Amino acid sequence: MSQERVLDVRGLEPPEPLERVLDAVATLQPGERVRMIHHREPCLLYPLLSKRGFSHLAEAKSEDHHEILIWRRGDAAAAPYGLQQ
Amino acid sequence: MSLPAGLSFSQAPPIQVPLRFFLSAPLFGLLAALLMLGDGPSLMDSRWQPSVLALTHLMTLGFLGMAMVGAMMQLLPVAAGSPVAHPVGVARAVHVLLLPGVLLLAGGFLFGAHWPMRIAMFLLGSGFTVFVAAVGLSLKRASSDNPTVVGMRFAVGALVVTAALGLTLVSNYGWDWWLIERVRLTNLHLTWGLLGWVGLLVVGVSYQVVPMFQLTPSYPKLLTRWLTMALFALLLLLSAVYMLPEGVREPAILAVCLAAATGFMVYAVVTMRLQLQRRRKQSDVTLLFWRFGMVCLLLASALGVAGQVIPVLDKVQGDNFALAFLFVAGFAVSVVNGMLYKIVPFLIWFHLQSLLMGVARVPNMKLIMPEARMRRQMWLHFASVPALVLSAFWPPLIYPAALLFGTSMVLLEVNLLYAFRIYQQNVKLAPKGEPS
Repeated sequence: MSQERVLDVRGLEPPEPLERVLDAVATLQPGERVRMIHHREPCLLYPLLSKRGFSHLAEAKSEDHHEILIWRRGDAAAAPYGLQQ
Repeated sequence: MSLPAGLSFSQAPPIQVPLRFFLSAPLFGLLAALLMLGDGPSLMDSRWQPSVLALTHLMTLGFLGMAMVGAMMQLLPVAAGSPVAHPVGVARAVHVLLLPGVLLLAGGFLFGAHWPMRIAMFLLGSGFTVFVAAVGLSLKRASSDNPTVVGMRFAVGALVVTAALGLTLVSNYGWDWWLIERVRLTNLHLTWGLLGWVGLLVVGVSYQVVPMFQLTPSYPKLLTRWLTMALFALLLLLSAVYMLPEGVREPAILAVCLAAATGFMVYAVVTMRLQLQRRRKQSDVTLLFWRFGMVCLLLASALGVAGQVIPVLDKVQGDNFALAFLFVAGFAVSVVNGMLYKIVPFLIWFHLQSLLMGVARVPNMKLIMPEARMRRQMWLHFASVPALVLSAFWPPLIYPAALLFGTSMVLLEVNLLYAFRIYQQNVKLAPKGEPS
């Protein structure tokens, strides 16, 4: 069963949301993932995550509510259901 | 999980692509200020005199053009999801062609010489052709659902019209051929350039950058869907009514100008309303620059309409100058200046974040561009604009106004270089072989 850390960065000024999430994912334990909640889709975060060896799954709940799951690439226990590969 | 369509790290252009334009922009602003100081109160004698034409192009092609070309190349991958192909080569070519082109054009106006005009025509024509072809291809690929993309397309369309009219006029200066419609073409050229290329690009880009950097709610959908299209249509209509015979022409021009001014006023009021609803209540430099810019846009729109409606105002020589200072220095330079203070430190932070991964901690954005430095420059700019506008009615005021504007441009350049130096210092820590 995966552990999830919720990180709500809504209302923070760029690049603080990116700084906070990069700090958070750096300390992820095996089987653990981050659920980032943002008021817009953080497109520039994705290349930074990819370069650091993380995978992500983004979902827009509404126009100003985006949730991004982030886990270490290859960590099947942390990956959301259906994306364990 | 793969990256979303249209975005990958390799698509973010290298930092030198936008920075070479951003670092050049304030130098043209400084040249404009030196020209105003050199010419003094006689600058206000006529809008057709050589120094005024040189000044106009240093501000619009030089300061605004450089900043807007750089911003567009940077924003296309991020805001439109469609990067410019071969960004380094395109940026180098456009920069190397436009930079001397603007200087030669201004010099040609100032000294009334033919040969600089002819070379400028070639350089500016080629520079804008490369730029329009490169961003045009990128915008063609981008999604039309994105109002920023739509705004950019109209802005580039307006740039093509502005450049075509401008090149026709330059050829007239360069070869002295007989051009009967010079006044009418000049008026169309400046209308397409200021309201079209500058106005539409600011409006389109603001749909993304105002909510992103100023933490405001999004612009209303009705506005983002229709405004840039309506303004572009009004510019087309204005060009058509310019061809009408005298007598019918004037009321038609007035009606179209009134509609365009209303469009820009609605945009300015909506932007200021969104700023009041922002999530973070502290004001920052970019927010203040934009608020100042929007007030100037409102005043410029009002003055533009008043000049057409009240015949007495149209006879006042200073009216044209006040309008130009309000729109160019008050609105356009302010919003561009404000944006540079977000885009440049953010880009430096972003590129360092990628380069220094696991090697060193990336400096905070507030260290890359300290607030106190930005505020000093901002107050100088805010003081220069009313001084410039009032100098249109009391010309000796041009000396303090130009001094304030020039000092503000020097400080802007110093601040941008300060941030760039932090990038250069940190980039040395990156592992060898990393792309910048």
